[in-house]
Amino acid sequence: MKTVLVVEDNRDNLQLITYALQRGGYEVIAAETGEEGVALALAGRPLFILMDINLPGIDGIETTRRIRASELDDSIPIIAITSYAMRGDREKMMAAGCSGYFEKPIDPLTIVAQIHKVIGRSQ
Amino acid sequence: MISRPAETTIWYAERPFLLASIVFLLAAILAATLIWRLEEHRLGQERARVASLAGDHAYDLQRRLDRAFSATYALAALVREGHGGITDFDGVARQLLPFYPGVAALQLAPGGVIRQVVPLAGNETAIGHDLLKDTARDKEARFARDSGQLTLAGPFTLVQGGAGAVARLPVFMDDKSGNAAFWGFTTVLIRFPAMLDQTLLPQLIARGFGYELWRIHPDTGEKQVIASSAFPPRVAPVKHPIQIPNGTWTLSVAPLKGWGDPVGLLFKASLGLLFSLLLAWLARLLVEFKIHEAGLEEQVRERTAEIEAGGARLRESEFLFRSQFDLGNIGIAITTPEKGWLRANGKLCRMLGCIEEELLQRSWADITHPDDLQADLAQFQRLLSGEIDGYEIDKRFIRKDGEIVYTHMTLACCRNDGQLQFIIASFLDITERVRAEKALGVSEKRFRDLLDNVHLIALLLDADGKVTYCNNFLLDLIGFTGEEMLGADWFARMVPDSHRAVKEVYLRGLKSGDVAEHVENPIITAKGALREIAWNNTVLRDAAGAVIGTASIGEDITERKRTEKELRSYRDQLEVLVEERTRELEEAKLALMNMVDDLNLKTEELAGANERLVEVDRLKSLFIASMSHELRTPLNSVIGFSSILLNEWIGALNDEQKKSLTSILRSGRHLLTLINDVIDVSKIEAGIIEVGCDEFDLAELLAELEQTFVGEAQERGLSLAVQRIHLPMCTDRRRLLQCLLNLVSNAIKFTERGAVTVAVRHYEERGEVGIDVTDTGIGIGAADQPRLFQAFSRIQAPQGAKVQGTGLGLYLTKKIIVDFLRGSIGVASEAGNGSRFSITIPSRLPEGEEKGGRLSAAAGVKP
Repeated sequence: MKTVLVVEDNRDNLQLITYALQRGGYEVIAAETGEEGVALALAGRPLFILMDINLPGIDGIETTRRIRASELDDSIPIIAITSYAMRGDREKMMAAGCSGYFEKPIDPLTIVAQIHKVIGRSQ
Repeated sequence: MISRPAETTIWYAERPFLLASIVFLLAAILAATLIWRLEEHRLGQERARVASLAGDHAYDLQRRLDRAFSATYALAALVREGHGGITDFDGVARQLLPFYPGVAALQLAPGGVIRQVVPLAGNETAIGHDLLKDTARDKEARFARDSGQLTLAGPFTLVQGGAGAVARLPVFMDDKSGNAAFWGFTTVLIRFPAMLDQTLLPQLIARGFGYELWRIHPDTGEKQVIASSAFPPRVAPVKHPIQIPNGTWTLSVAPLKGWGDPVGLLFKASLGLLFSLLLAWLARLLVEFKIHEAGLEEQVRERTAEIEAGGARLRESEFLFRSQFDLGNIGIAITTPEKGWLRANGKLCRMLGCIEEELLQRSWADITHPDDLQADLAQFQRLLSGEIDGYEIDKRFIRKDGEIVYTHMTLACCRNDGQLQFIIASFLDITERVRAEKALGVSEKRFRDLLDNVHLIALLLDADGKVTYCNNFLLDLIGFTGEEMLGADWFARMVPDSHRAVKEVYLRGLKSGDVAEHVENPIITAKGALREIAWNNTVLRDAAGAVIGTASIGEDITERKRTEKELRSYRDQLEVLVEERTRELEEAKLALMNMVDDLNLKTEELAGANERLVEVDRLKSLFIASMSHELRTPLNSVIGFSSILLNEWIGALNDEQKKSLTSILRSGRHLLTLINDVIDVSKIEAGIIEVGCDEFDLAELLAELEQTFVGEAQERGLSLAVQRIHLPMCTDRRRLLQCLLNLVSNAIKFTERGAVTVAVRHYEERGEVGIDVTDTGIGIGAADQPRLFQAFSRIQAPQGAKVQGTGLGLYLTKKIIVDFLRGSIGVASEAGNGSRFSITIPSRLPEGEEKGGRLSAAAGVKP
């Protein structure tokens, strides 16, 4: 199964992403908080992770750090999603261990292609 | 005048008493010396007088003694006449004695033995006394015999008793052989003090002197007093010698009261003391006089210095006044009611555009703006009548060249005994300020226009919830007039009773400065209709940070809510359809048990989709509930979900549904553009936009641009040609793309048929890139072109061409190009003949321009 993890507290966004990913042939597991995200990442071993940065509780950057600090393979791409990227945010996200980032709004029609571009796969 | 330092003041000025004491001491020493010298002189004189007196007495005594002793010669002569004896010695002696006063007795001593004495009475015991053999007193006798001279023996105690002295004259007689042979002595006895009673000595006592007659005893060497007054002289007596045969006697005389003159001395001492005191007093007077004089001089110096300082201050003050008058940045004129202008300084002349002579010839009314003359004259009359002493007024003057100059004039008059002397008028040129205020008014109006034209609600409330501003959009929406709304209690009038709690929350929030940023609540219009509004609130504070009210932007979401409701019902229908279809598929599956795995998979997916649709419904409810948190987030969902549905991910749609969904998607996108533009505008005008350098290839950017519009152009039957040139860029990619999207979007929007082209020019030597967006659309009239880049200046499209837009696109584009990308934008167009928008930007953003280098410029636009 091509399982992917989406950490997103906004359920609308989550749903949109989920539609898009499922249409792209992925099984989606979703977490609404950072802690949940870390737990699901360890349990689900996803192919890649979409990480909303603005989360209640610990934010996406901290969640990414924790995942990177865990036993999980560091080669698993983590793609950040932000609603507004300020200059410097990108560096922060990259430093935390993100492989790339998207800015909202997410276009469900093109997101899978964009993800593939980031992780370097064309399936 | 050189002021003398205080230290040089003479020491005695501070101690007049000390000086007086010193003067007294010196005078006393002088007086004492003088008195001592005088006394010494007096004493010398006195002693000389006494010495002379003593000399007289000594001489007298000596004369008498000599006479007494001379009796021995007479006797000796008689002895030699009588050849060794005197016949009638008694008789002769008795005749002789009266001639020799002081002689007590005459004696003859032949062979040294006393044989005869006259008078005999009292001298009997002397008879037979051998003078040469008396061991106690033979020395003088032997000396007289051996020397042949008259010799005086004594005084001593006489053999016959009493005190006396004896003068003995040896007598020699020729013997037969002719040799002189010693015969014996003739002697004279003198008794003391009887002999002295006949002298003048007793007179000395009467004259207050004491005396003493004495000799040094030849045998013992001690002083032997021969006679003295009852009080012998003790203190420094005057001595006078008396020569006697074979010896010297001394007469000492001294005043009985001593040499001193106590009364005279006392008198002199008193006089000296008085003199000294007088001198001391004079000295003190002199010092006091000197001090007084010095004080006066000091006062004169001080006064002189004060006067000089006063003069200097006056000069300085005058200099300052002149500087102020001539150099100051304020126009100053001095006038009197009678003579008119006296002086006008250079600044005033410059202000009024003429030279001083010209100005002085013109009257007040000439140069005053006619509209301001009346107000000024009224005040001036009050000034003349003494009612006021000055006034301030803003008034306009007419320069010589006819220009109007705005001034703030301050008039003050100077009165002397109530009589108006002159008037000083100062003029501050406030023309710039007035113009700035006017310009500010224009700027404010522009932003009011912005708020009045935007399709959003703008509302300002004060801290009590009273309306201080509401824009036209809101007024149109609610059907009240601005007059009705201003000052009205917003919550009482506009919020339905069911939502009154909103007011309490709001007012509580204002107190703590914590008003909810996003709120949704319905309002009642004048006609009683309810409109659902999503608010975006900002707390307003004054300079001190105190809450003064709130500014709110609201969006009428009534229609959207309704649309969403419709969407939900569509979805319900879809669900039913899907369920039906699933059932059909399951039936088909039952019938076609052996069909390929593909079909099974499909069925599974469809089953999953069904579950997910239920999930979607739940999520939609949540989505609507949280919609007001952000305007964009829900809108993104609207767009996202619309596009999914439209792409028939969820299921097939009929044409009607597709048309509706297309409408939703378009409206959503339009609203998103509007919101993004408004957010961008507010960011730009709040100065919080960020600019950065991205390294990218221009061709890649242009490809993205083309990709974005290729579909839309096809739909509209337009040809879209985007020239791609590979060129490394370093500028803000997102902002550049935003501008190009805007321009191409406009070009497509305003073009009915023909082509939209994007051409690129590279100015390598200038390091610049030019991008032209050309269309064959409706074009822009020359009259409209200047307003093209202003906010909310939408150009009226001809023949009611229906074109959606925010009115912010070109305003934003120009802002970004000029302020952030450091480039320029221009337009060439003709009504009906298409447009060409050209931008030129540096291919590399200059250093230091990123990170909001233009923030201050952008912030300055804020109303």
